Amino acid sequence: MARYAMVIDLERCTGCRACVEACKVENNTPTANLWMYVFRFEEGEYPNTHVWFMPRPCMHCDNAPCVKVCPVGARYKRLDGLTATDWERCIGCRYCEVACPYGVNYFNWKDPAENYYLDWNDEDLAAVTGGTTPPYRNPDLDQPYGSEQRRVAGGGRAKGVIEKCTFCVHRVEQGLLPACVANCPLFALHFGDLDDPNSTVSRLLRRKPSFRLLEEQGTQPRVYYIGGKPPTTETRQIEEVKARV
Amino acid sequence: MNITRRTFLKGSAAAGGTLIAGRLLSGELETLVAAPPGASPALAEEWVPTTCWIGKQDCGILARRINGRVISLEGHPDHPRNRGTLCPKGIAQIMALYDPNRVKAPMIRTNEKGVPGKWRQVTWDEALNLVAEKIKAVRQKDPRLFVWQKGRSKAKAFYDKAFVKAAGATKLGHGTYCSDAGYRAAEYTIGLHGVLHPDFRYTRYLLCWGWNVTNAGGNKFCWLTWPQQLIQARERGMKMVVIDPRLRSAGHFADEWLPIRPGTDLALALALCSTLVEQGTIDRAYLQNHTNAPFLVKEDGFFLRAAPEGEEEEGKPLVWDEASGQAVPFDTEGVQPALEGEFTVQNSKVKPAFQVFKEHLASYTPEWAAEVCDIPADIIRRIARELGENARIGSTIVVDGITLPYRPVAIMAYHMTQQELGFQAARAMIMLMMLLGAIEAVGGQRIDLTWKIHKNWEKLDRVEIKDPPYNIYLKDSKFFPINSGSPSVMAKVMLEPEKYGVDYTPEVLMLHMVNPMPSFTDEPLHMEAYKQFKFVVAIDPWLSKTADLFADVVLPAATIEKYEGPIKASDQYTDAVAFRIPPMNPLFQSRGEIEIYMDIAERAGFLYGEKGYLAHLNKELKLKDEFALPLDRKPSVREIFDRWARAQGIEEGVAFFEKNGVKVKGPVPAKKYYGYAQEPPFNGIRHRLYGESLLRYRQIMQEKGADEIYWRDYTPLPTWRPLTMDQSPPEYDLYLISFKKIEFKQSRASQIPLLAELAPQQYLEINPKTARERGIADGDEVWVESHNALTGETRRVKVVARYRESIRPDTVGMPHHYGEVARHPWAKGQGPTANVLFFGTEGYLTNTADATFHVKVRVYKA
Amino acid sequence: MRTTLTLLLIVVGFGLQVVSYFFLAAPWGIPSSPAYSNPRVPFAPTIFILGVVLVFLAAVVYELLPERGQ
Repeated sequence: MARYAMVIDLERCTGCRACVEACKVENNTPTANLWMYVFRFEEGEYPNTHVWFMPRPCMHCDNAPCVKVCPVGARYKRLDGLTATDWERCIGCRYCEVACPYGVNYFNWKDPAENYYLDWNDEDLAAVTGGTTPPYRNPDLDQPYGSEQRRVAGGGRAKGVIEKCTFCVHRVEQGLLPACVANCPLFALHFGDLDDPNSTVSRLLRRKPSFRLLEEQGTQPRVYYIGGKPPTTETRQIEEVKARV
Repeated sequence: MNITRRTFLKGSAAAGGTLIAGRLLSGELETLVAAPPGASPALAEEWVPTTCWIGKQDCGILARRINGRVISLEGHPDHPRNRGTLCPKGIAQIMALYDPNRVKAPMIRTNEKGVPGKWRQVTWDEALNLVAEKIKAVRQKDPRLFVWQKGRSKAKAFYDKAFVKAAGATKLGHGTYCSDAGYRAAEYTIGLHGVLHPDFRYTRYLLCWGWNVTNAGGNKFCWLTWPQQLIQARERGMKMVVIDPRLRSAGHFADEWLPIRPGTDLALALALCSTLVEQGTIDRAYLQNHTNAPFLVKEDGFFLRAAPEGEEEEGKPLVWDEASGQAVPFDTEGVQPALEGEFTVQNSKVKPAFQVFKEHLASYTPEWAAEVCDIPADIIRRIARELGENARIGSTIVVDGITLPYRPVAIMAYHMTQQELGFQAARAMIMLMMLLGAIEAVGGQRIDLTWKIHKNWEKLDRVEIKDPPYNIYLKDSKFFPINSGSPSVMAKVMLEPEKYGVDYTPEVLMLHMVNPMPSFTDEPLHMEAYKQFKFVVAIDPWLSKTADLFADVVLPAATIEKYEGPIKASDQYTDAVAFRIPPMNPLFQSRGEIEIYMDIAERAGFLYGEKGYLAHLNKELKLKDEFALPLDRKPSVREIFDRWARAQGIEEGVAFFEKNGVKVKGPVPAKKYYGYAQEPPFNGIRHRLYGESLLRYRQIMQEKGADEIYWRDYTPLPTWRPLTMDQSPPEYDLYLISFKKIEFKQSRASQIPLLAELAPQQYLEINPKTARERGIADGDEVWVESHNALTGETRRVKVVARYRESIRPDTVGMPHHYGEVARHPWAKGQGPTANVLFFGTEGYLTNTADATFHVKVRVYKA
Repeated sequence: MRTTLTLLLIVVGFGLQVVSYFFLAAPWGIPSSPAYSNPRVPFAPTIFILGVVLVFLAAVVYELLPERGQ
């Protein structure tokens, strides 16, 4: 069984947010749900300022608080390390959203059909797309995945359920990289199997010092950062995006 | 009524139970009900290779299509520019492909202009007939009355060029708002068509001069090609010094940040030149053999020349040969030209141009520049020393088996040339690299992608300044002898034609993928002027602000869903060509531009025949013999490209690109790449350190009575002078600059919801100390008021202020992009365009009619 | 009668909470696989909540049941 992890190279990231968009389109997430988020940080005082950027997907923690508190077992940890959300079983209690220290959970307050940016109910458009919402709806997300065959892929599945980054489970199971990793123009995101000593992630972690976010909380995240230092209380966010409706 | 606790409890328990039962039984708790497995229909997946449409550099795309529906756009792995990745706009483009707010069918205006339009939808037939009728009429009356304006060509500019030529229209581009002051400087000084970028594979020391690494473009290419090359260079150890009023644009890639005062880049360049000369780190061999530095300059500022030979108008310039001790023509065999000294030849005192330059630089010391630029003198000296050391003057390296000079220092500069002294600042920066001998050397200063002398090398040196009447953008006039063709100048001329010696007002305007109102400086000026056009036709996928206010006809264009090409896909080191292949049919009734132009030309009577549109298409695409388009029938767009592909030797024709998307031709050989690798080097031209013709233009402009404001910057050597904007009264104490955002740069994207969500609103970046002094908190609404130092006009807009430490305290910044599209739900309330505050008239134009994006403002709480 | 029932509910409620949290939900010992994040028993958090609910219901029961002697 693979042991998946992500390595993010902060020396390369330019904060372009292409990963945010790639994730959005691939996973069909509704308005203001930013599964992948990129922080744009500024530190210091003029003229000794430092500007840097930090992508933040779900950490897919090995000691996940969200998994522990899910009353119905909709949020569970797979053997390959992905922390998945069974959107058929989720009852929308939002305990996982409360428990997660990273804030990666998004609740579908609205009916997804009405929450995809624009009103797609256009006759002329439906003639081209067959009336799907959104028009770029990805059919891969409807299938069940994993040996347990549960529906864990995609966003905007139903009103009243929680969703979050899935490490693109529907792509990973086909041997592809998550959309954010595959697209990063600066090749700052890496994904792979930690149990394989020759994988990119293993080699990077052997060679370079790394950190994980909020390690002191004991969540054992599977997302490692190289080429930088964790944000401190002096780090300010600039150019924030209003996530969540 | 007497309710006991017991009753209350019983009652609420009962009510609660009923509610839950009701929900359960009505089936709204859908998540407790498993979704039916459902048979998944057979999914036919296809990958259509195509090319990005949304931004500047046409990156390669693979469109994923399932059962005929495009569901995502991913980077094409073989494309040298993006290597399988896309910037956020490229990905978000999927929403532009399906946007229900796109113009669905041609529209004709029913109300007056200058206010948002009331439109009636018509057939293509009716719209094209109307447009063709108007164009036919104006061509018969006077073709000069037909102005064709473009934003950007999304492929080789052949079909638009061909249309302009066939129609005889006057063409205006966007270059004056882009970087054309730099283009003119480079064309004039070195002869290449470009601004400044490094040989990233070898550069060791880079001056990132106003280059927006994390958000924007750079010379020739753009995001993401340049950042990809930059990161590789940095991993190789390249040092980067950022010269910019704001640091955000370079992020953490800056090894050092010089927060320069806006508009003073010329002063810094001159001080660096001065220090290089003082410390002696100059490439004498390059200056002697490949520039006009040794040419002897008389006291009147012109070259000392030999007598004209044969048909020549002027004799060859002379140099002082140190070997023979006399003045000889510069191209004499075996000459050892002097760079310094003072000589007497034929009773006139002469000095080599380099000597003149050296004396000119004497007053431009780092101490002087420190006052002007607000960068400490010791830092300027240190940068000059580091440049000198890193340039490794005299060293060579072998590339592709050829021994070439190795000078691994360079500048990356592009849009920053659009400032008041931009033409001369760009010249000074080029001359800085010339002193180091880094031009076209390995690791050194690049301007174009390959060594290819542009026709402007000769043209800009031989401008014939004519007498009025002039054309609509004052070409070859006493106002702007070197002229980038500015729509702002056209707007001003339309409002005051007699002042500029223009005897006509254009009547018909065609807007080709351009939106002047928010995009060009001085929005109010354009608003005034565009009212005068009698007939305006806009070709655009959305109803742009300009079209909504001024267009008579809107023709919906397709976005990525059309055939367009050929598209250069080179990344500077690997040569390739690509095409835009439609991944689906054009949405609604939109059509590709080439089809639209062919139809208009046909109906207006200039499609067929020797001088028709088809003939010009052949010329622009170089289609000859059996590949040429027959001049008597209208081809499909696909056929045009099929013929082109076969003419290139690609047997399968355009089908090759329909299958593969991009054709990689291979690495660019050093012989083609470096000017030094030519035989003779640089094809024997002499780079213009000393701009003799600029002096000549100055004198002719003075003779013809042009005002000082037009000729004051035509100097043979870059010369500093106080800036016009600094003449504004002291209460306008802040400089306003503008910048691009990666979410929207160089695209029609501010209405695309996926991107607008990331940056929904216009804002003002302000240093926290500056803000607090004015009682402004982060997030407060403020007025930003600009002032025209010459006319006294003030303008103001209201925006939200955002704290930013990494911007100079005397500078505020505003992004572009907002206020582009009318009638789009996501474009509402985005805020004003920064271009309301910038001026586009005298004092705020360069001497080459280029726009400037600087103005003094004051900021106060709203 | 009602006191007994109330106290019973409280004790059972807390008992359920303790058992479900410490023995069914929280991972103990050395992790042998990523799945150790998952609760031992799938609905362990539900059982915890059930315990909480029982404790609060104790008050309701105390209110609803008649007093001794009434």
